[in-house]
Amino acid sequence: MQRSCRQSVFILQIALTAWACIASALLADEPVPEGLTKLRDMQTPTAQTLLNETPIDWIVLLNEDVLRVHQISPRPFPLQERKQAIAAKEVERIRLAGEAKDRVTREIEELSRLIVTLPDETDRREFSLPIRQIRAVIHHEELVLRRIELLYAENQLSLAYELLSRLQREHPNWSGVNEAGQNFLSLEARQKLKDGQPESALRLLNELYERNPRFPELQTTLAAVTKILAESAIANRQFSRAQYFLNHLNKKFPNDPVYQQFEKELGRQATEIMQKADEAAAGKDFRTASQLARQSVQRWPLLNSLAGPFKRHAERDQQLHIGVTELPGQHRAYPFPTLADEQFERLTHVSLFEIDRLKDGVAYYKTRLFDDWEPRFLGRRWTLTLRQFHQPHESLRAVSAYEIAQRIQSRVDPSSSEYDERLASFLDSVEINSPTQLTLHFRRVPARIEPLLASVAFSHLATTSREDSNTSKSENEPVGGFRLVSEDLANNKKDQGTEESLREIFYRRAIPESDRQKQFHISEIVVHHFESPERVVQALQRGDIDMTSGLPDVLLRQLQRNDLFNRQFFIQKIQQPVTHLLQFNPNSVPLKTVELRNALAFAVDRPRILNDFVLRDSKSPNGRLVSTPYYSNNPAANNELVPRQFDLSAGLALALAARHKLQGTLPALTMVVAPGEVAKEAAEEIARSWRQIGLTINVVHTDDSPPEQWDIAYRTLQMPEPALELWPFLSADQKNTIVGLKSYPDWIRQQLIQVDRAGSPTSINSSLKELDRLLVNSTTLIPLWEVDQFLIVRKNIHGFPQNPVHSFQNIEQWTLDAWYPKELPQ
Amino acid sequence: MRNSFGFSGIVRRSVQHNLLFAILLLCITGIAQGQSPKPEKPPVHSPVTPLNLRPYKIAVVISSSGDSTVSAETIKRWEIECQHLLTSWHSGSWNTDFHTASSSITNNELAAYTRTAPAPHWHISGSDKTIGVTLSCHTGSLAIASREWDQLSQTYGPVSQAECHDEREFANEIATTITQAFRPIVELKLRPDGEIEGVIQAGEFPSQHQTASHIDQGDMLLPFLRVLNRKQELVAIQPIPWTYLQVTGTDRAQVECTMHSTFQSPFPKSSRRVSTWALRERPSYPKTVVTIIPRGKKQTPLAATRCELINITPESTSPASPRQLLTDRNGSLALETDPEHPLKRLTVFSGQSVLARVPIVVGIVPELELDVPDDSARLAVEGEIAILESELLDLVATREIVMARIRTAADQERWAKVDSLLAELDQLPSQQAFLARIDKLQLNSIFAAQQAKDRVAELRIKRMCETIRTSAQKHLDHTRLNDLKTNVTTERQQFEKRSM
Repeated sequence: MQRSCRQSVFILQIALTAWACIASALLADEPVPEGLTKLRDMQTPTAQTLLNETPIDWIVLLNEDVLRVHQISPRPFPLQERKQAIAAKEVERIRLAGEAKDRVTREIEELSRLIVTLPDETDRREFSLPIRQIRAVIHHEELVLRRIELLYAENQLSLAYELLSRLQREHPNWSGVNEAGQNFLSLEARQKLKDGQPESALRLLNELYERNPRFPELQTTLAAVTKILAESAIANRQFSRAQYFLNHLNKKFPNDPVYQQFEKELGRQATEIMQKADEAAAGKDFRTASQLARQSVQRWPLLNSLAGPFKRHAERDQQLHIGVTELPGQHRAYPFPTLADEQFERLTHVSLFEIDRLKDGVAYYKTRLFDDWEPRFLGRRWTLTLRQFHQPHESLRAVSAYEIAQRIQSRVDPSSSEYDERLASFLDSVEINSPTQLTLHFRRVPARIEPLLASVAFSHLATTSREDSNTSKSENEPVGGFRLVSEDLANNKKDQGTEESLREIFYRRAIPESDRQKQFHISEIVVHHFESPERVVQALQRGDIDMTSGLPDVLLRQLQRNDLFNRQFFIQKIQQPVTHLLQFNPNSVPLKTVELRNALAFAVDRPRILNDFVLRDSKSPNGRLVSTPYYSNNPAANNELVPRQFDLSAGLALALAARHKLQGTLPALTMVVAPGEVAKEAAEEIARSWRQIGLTINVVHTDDSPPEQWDIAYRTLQMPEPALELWPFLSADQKNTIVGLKSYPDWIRQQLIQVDRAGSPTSINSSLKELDRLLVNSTTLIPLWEVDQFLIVRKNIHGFPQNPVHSFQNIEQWTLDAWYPKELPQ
Repeated sequence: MRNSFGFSGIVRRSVQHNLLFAILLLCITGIAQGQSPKPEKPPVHSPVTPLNLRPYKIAVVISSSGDSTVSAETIKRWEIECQHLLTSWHSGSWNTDFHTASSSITNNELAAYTRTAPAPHWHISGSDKTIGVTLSCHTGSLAIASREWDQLSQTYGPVSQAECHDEREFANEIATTITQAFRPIVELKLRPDGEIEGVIQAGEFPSQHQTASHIDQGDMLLPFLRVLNRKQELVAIQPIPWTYLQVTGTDRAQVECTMHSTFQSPFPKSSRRVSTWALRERPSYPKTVVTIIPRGKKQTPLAATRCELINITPESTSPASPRQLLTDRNGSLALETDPEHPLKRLTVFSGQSVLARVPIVVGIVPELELDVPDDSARLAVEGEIAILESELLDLVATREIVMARIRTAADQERWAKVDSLLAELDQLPSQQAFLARIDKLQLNSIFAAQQAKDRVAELRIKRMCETIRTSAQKHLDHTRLNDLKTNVTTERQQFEKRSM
């Protein structure tokens, strides 16, 4: 109180002094202002004053006294121009007379006064100050700049930045603001560098470069930052990253000594590595040679001398680099095989029959093992004749009828871990006619033999350094396809991998191609795991990977619209879309209540989630709502089914009914979600809707710890053969067993049996349609939508199918032209 | 398979008879030995000798295979020793003749006969029972297999097997397997009070091998009928399916039984031409595979059908918890033999209905077929009813929600909204439409049941449809709908009057 009083008195004194001064100035020609602080004694206001208090301008009078006033206008005040204008008017007045002279006199009087208000909040009076008494006006903004410079000197950059940002926001064109900003960037960059944050320093220097490329010592600082970043990247074997920083420096300041130093060093290393690759190739170690050649061009791709040897080594042992967001066998909380599991299983398995194409939703099969397969006795016996010769590019060895019979036997032997109850119910016995021919005796005639035998496959597990001594040589000898290479070979992954990938796994052609080949094919597949689809696309564009599939639709459409991308990559539609659906656990106690299941079904807004979360564009042709768990164009799909329309109120009513039926409590439901960003977002949105109707939903994503029991599963799957795959899909144990269907009602079980026993495609389809109706209408599952899948392949890859059934179809026939990015990354 | 290495099988000769019994035995044995075999004569015994005193005529046919170190003389010696043993064990109750098979009998051949297969080529006419014995000698060990053919029931018993490595025990083992293959015969009588009692053939004679050759409390009897014509010639032998008699008490040749049957009265009324017999059967197979077949559809057994297996225990003990089972793709259940609780009850379900409830003794036969009614039509209706119930729930919930919205909109005097909601309400399926669906379902499924002549299924279908119909009539009642419309119209009119 006392303090404010003293301030008021002080202000009043100043005001009175100022008033006396002004009044004397107005009354006298040579006023002598008294009681004001001299300019030399004035202190630059503190940052807090400048930020928090009313902006004040300083008016420096002729006697160096400083008058503090509220901000004057116009700003900046043109003092010199005003004085010149007064002088000009006075000259003009001399020549005039009468009214004109009076008018000019009035104009001079107006120009000669500066209206000011004193910084006293209680005194709102305006005072007129003669211009000729003013030596200078020091604006509030200039005071701020002065304080900023002082703060720079004291290294209080954050406070300085606060002042500067306000100044930039309010008066971006004020003289000195730009320079202060540049100084700030330079000082901040140096500070960041000192704090060990070179990336931040680089960002600031880039900004500074944009504002003023000729800023003093900018090149030196940028070179220092680049050196630190490049050295760090090289130490972490992130050569692409190092190249990016060096290229960045070189573009801004060509031929900087730092760039030249690294160019020389990395070039030398690249040459040395390529020499090692040549040596490895001379020693017939083509895999190492190819890997070293890739490392060499990754080290410094600008050397022209690398192109020739790289082509030689890369095309001899062709290594395909694939980017994925899901690796097989990596999903802890999801209790079903994932799409990635199935995708990579196709690489390592040689099936007796495999899907060749889909026509009108029906799968057509081919075989690599048999020349001929003929039915006899109205299909009760099938004689299979084995192929004896294979093309050199086929990763396949000659298989004997005994081996095939042994594989089939293991599937029909109840004591075997591979026992297939369904196959065993059809197959009676296997008769080996000769080393190249066998006959299958069926006790029941299957509608189609190919899908039945497609599940019989030769597989290759990871090769370990110590082979099991008990297994015979023939059992260990691979039949074909690709095999997962063990971890000991994957140790050098950083040399092979991309810098952003989290993990790599290696698949190697099980049967290597002969040296005498003229044209070699893909011998190794390196799968790079990225944390997001965006990272996959980045790696594609950088040249780190050659192929990917399963990108989210929104990202895919962006790439389809990108002309530059389309010049470098093929984007091929895969014939099998991915179906998304919600499956209810038949063993879940609360979900046995039909009211609860129906409530859940009502509360899923399928069209909105498809458009907003899955496709992110209602006009996208790559996704559609479905009413079946299999493809919508499959002849067995019951497209006449109308799933429940979204009605949150009906859902709420049914949830209340379910609560009543469950003795007043609705237990929390656990939903496990298939891997993938799209599934994750869609599942979260569905769970949000369910929470709106009063349900407690725990969403368990793939990386979470596995739940004790799940109630609902958000599944993504591909089901080309519903007659075969629907049973294990519904079964609790994911196998073709009767026991797995124990919890389903008898009428669903019997309909499944009817599908299983159907003897013709027509009866299979009609039984499946009926089963589909029962499943959807009894809310055993909620079909959501299907999304088309696309394969993205760099254009240096040849031989892949135009309409692939899956990502790795006929991959042993693919060839790869040597390619690497011939420019440094930008 | 049983191995024997010691003297455990040595016969004890300390048989104690009473005098009268001994005299009677000697007489009967003498008569039996004095009879010359008459192959063509049917096995109808003289009515003079009561059944409880009538010894079995047993022909043992021995066939050997294996290495040549076993000579015919050795086998003959074993036969003689074996006959001595059997005579001493079953003195008086068995008249045993040993024969050598004219053609070889193999173990596989013995095992291959089904229970009701025709008489084997090694059957000796005139005997009550023919027991085929195969001996396989391999490197000093003897594998023995015996199987009985019972002339009265014209059925085979289970194969009794043993393996012996001690040559001194060979004859003993052969006699033991023969004894184990033997199934005693009981003539049954249905008492007026409904209890069943029986007389064991030759049951008055004591035996050294009581457990093997006689009937004990807890043993299971499989009954069958012998139908004769006026000339007392055999016309047919009818096994009584899914009927077992559990022996509750024995007194020399007399047995008392408790019946376990899927039928209420499996035995016909007493008749001179129909006699009721039973064979004692003991579980000898490790499991019994029961195949469930819908009537008239043998090619499509009932796969994935829910079944329940429960031990049948005396009423005094607490009931066991049932085992839930599912038939496999071949419509079969593999039931394992349980020596503790041989008698079980198998219940076959189809949806909410019970298709069959039968007693079963697991292990007596390797395979069984259970005929059940074809319930597919009724089961399909059950599925449709479940779906209709689900749709009814949806409909009722949606209807209630729309009606509540109409009330809210009317309260807020938003008449355009009321109109659109009323239109939405009219779009919902009406009670008539829903009932028409139920009628159509009922009509079609009852027609299918009538075609299949399944009266029970027809009744069940009617009952199920009636339940859902009642529910639909209750929850899709017109009255509330009409009341709502009337109220809304009244409120609207009042609003319009106020507005004017």
